[in-house]
Amino acid sequence: MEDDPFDELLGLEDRFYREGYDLGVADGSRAGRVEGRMLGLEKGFEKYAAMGALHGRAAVWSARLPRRNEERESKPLSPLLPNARLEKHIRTLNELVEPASLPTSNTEDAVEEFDERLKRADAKAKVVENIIGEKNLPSGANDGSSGAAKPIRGVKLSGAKSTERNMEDFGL
Amino acid sequence: MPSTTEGPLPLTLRPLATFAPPSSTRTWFSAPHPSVPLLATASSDKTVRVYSLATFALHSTVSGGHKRSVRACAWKPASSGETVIATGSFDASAGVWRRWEDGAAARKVREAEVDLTASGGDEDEDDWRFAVLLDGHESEIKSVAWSASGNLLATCSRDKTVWVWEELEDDNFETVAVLQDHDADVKCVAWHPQEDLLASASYDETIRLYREEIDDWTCVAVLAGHAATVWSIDFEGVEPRVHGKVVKAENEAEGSREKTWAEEWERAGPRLVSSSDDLTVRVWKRRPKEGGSVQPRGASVPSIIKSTNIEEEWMEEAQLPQRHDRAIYAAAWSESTGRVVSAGSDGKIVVYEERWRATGEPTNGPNGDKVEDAFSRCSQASATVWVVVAEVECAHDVYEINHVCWSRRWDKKRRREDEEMVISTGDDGEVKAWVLDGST
Repeated sequence: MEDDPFDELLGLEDRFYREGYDLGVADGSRAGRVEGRMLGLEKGFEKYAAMGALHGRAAVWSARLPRRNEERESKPLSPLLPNARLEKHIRTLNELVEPASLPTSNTEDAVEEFDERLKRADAKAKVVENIIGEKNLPSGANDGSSGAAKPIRGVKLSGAKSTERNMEDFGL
Repeated sequence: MPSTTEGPLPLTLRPLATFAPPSSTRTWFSAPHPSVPLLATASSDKTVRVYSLATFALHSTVSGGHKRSVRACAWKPASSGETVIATGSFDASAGVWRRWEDGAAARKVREAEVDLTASGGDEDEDDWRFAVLLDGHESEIKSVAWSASGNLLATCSRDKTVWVWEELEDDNFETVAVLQDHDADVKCVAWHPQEDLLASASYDETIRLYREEIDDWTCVAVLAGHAATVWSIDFEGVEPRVHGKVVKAENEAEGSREKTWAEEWERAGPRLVSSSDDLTVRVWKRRPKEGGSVQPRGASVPSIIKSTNIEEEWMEEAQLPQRHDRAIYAAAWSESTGRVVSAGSDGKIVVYEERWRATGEPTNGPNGDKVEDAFSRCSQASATVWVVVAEVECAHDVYEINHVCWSRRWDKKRRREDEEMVISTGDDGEVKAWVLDGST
């Protein structure tokens, strides 16, 4: 078959389309990889930073546990009241946030394990916060923890029906 | 729409009384005291109204502790010498209130003799003392429940968490666990009647069970099956009842299916009933462990890091006949008769009873209606079947019913010592008592 002199001309559209498409795919995949990596770094940082913050709190709490035999002359930390269960909570929290054992690979399982530990550590921190908040009530120390068990003094009974008209509780 | 109604229902729900005076705002939840004739109703007006179950009159009001609606309340079981009630509010806090350290007023109420229509009374003795404020939740608390032994309190909230508190001496409650296993708003918590096993129901369509393992509370089972929000859950009593009669393996004939059923029940323990937005009420049972009673197995290698040992297996046993056409907000399992009552957005109250299935009788199918065995969801044809025994519509006029429960009947006109009544709590601010008429 002889070369069709019009081959090139007729296939021009096709060729340009293909070239454009290939350029687009290459550019897109590169941009996607860059963006994905940025997102991964950002999210990863956030998660590990949160884990680190919990580790810091756990470290301070462990240091405050009153079981040490050594002298603590220079430590300005207020000791926690002795409580066996609190100690266990803090110890568990420590094990959950132990940096050496945290998975750092990017596999499904590793991510799941990390997320699970972060969630549990978060919950544990809340428990410890709440216990300490309650326990430290007499000394009045506020550790930035939320809430305390405050006994409220005798609320008088009212035999009659309440005549207040309250606004409807919304957002249910 | 009921598809197979075989004539009139065997029992009728008759309105007995409306607790007076009713609340002027919506009432959410009512809890009858386990032993004293008192009923506590949590109301949108930030108070809990305590009514007498004998006279249906207002007895006292628990107020001043919450800044928003009180959504749930629960009497502490097994508390001698004093009455203790826990309240859960939309203001994200829970309260524990105490009263009556053996005063004369307490004795009178126990004997159900005093005329409780008069307001006030002995002011000194009648104080509801706000003992403890439990802070910690980040948004509205939806439910509170005491464990059977009375020393653990569970609260759950829209913040997706379930908290377990333990009472230490002297109005001191310690947070024992913060459970973040649900993916959405947790609507209800309930305790097993014998074990320290906690159940929670959520907007994420699952029911989760938790137990304390190696000093740590973990989720030991996930019950999935509902197609929408699970609004409430309740455990069966400590003894199974079929058609109103207690079933014990030792009393049944050798080799009979009743005996097999009873033996399996005794190995598995009380079942769980749940009601949902998907218009179904379902019964769940535990798969008994091989070789004896259910013992939570310690993990072979105690690992604090891995918490994925699902220790228990629960499966759906039956779906009750479908009668509601809108969300079912509450379901309760009677400890004394074994009947289940449900109520919800459509204003209906329905009572169901478990019966032995007659040979050849179809069992409850996917819709709860009776279908042929071949289409039954259970691989093994169940020995029992659930039927509707009573139903009433528009129980609270046009309003939704937020809660329904069983209570012992205390008023003078009761027909038997152990007669029961149904108590419904509605959006209209009214709490109503109903009795079941007709022979079973």
